[in-house]
Amino acid sequence: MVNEIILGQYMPSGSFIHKTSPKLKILCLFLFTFSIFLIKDSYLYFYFLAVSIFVLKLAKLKISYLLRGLKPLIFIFVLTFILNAMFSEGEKILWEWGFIKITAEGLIYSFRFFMKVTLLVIYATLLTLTTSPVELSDGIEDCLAPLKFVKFPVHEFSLMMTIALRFIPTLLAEIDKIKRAQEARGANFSEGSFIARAKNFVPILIPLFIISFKRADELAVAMESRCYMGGEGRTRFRRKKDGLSDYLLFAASLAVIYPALVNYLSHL
Amino acid sequence: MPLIGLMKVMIDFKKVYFRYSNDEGSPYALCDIDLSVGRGELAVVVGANGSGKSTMARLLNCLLIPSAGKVFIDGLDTSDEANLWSIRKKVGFVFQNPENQIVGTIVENDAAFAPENLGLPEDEIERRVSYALEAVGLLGRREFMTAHLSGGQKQRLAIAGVLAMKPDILVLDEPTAMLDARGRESIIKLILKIKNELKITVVLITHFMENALVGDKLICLEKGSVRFAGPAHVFFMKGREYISKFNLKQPFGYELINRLNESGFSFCESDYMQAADPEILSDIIFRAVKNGR
Amino acid sequence: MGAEKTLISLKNISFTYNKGLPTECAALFNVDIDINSGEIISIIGHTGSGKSTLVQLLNSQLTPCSGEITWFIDGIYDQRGAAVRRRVCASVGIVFQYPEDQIFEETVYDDIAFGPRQLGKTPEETEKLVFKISELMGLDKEILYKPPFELSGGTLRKVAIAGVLAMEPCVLVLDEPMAGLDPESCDSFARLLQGLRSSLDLSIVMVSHNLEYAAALSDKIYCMASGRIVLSGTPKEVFGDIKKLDEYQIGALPSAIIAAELSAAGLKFAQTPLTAEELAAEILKNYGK
Repeated sequence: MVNEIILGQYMPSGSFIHKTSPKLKILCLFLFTFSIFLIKDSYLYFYFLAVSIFVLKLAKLKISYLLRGLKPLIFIFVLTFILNAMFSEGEKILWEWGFIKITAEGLIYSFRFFMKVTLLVIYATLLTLTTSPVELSDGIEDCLAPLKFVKFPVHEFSLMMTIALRFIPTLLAEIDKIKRAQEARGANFSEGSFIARAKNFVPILIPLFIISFKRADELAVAMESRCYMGGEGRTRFRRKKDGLSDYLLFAASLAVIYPALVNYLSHL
Repeated sequence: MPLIGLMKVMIDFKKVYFRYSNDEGSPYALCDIDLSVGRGELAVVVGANGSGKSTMARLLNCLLIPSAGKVFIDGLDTSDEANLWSIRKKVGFVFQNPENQIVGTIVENDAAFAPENLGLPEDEIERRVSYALEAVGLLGRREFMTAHLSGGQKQRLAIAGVLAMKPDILVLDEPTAMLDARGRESIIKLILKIKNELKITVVLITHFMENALVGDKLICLEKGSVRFAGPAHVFFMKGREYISKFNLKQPFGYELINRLNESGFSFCESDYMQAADPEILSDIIFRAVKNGR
Repeated sequence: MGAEKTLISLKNISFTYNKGLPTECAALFNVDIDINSGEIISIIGHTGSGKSTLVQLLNSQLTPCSGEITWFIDGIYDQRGAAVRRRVCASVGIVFQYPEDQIFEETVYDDIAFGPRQLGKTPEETEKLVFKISELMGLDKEILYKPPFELSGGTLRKVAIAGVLAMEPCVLVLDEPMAGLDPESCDSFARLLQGLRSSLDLSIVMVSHNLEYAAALSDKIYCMASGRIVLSGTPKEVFGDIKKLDEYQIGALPSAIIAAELSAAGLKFAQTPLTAEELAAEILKNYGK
């Protein structure tokens, strides 16, 4: 069963972006997200779009990968755009029918919203295309590390993520197996009313819960048997230290978002 | 056969009793267990379902503590809390379900779990991961995703995860029960290799009788007590009826010689000991037939 | 048992997973199998030989890429259409590996009753079925009203199988039914299967790599390797063909191996012995003391 694709489309290509520290890449994502929401003039949306294509090329990846990430969400984006356009308030009315009002301001607002959300997804996809699930989980742990000082259980949270990632393929295989077994007993997952079909998920969910609880128990015993004593005193295998190239990339990101900051400040 | 007297005792049960609940009148899962396993030995534990095999195994790495009596691992008392992590480091435990032992997404990351827990420096972890993966034959797959391994490979990874602690003792509780025929074969070969090359003391719990013959010592449990502790061939020579009391069967060669002896042949102990190999067994039978024995 | 009648016929079946996609994987090639009424058939082969794919073809959860499957049951002749597929599912009951994983209801009774209820049986009919099957499976009446999690693994497996039998299939297909069972449970399970065959007039297809039980229980054995049937026949025919078993690395019965060695050395054997008992008898028959 080929399952890497499900976890956010990691596409290794050996580029330097792939090799960059995941922690810094995640911080860059936050920077870009923050900047995109600060933008006042719409032309900057296209600027960020261009930047994302540029980064994609630096990562030696094809545009089709990006589009693949957007595809499932396209419907929602377009729907949001249409709904926003139809029901937003504004002065310059362009077209009216009943309580549906399409105004110029409304259209602009919808467009901006659409661009913000699309860009967000594009940059998040860039992150998952260039960072493997394991690296992402390490990166999140590193980003959360400062929270240790407010007693946030960083290690436990990170271990939970690692284990969850580890078992996703297993769970998918089990769902498949249980589904086939219940179908063989006459359970119907494809026909019938919505409520009937929802009820039919009970024979899948309950066994899955039971298996998962048993699994958690056995896994905990196995971990203890391998001397797991919690996060205290634990070292990490192959932890890449951040290097000069990582910091340079972060600095470059700061430079890239500078126009957005300027734009925001100039409108104050 | 190595003598216990000359060999260091790694596992020592002294008048051990165990029950899961301390309520009055609750039954004992293990009664009056006295046995020992020496360094470098392979002890195979057999018995019917519910005979206490798994319970006994879990007393070896402090997952359970005796209700009465003492268990000593390389001289350390398991009921002494101060010894807990030293014992857990010495005793590597491999469970039945390969799936529920693997923590990491990538093979080498999972093998590194135990050394990470022990707080070892990065270069030492690297050495141990390579050592453990090589010992189980997964070094070439160190960057694979664990989800893509077969059942047998996952179980080998579980063994590697435990070898990375450099344990003195390896305990395996029905390690092949959930594997297919090929997986079973590969695990048994690996266990023998570990015992012979790495000189680790091994305790193997199994219900596959062919595996019972590979050990230095066979321990048979029934309803929580030790009914037999000694060489495997002596146990199986006792005959079908005796063994079926424990809901076990004789390995094929033993059953065959047993039946032939019942009908007038007179095979002896050394014949039994070679009965595992079909070619040798055929030879023995042929000669017996020809010589009218 | 009545005259032999073919219940399921597979002719020249081939199957490929993900056909046309980059992850394409051929699983079965030109498979021919006949399942007759009242028979116990074993399909043996290693993991990856195509056994599990075959199991899902038998109850139409998968459709073959080429070739024809015909079910001569209740006038079902065709594998197309969801409604037909569901009827086939009911007539060909499949018990997957570790079936106890599929149990979900609050009581054993309800879980066994799931299948009949899905088929639209009335509560009275359902009750009759549940009681009848539980008795055949050796499940006491008190167990029926217990929650499943209180029961042992072996009992749970019986409950899961009862759940499939409650749909009154004509053919029962079991995928590795003895996986994870200890020797004592395997023996009692084998006896149970034989009992089911006679009391329910059931055809049983056992997909497994347990050679010993395949030899003991089957009327007919099919050996699979790399998606093809490489050897078939009665247990004595199959296990007697040591050369072919070795060629396809299927494994062999120790009794047959020794019989072959002794034959080569000059002793005479009337037929291939499948157990130590038969082998001893054969050795003694010719040269008894």
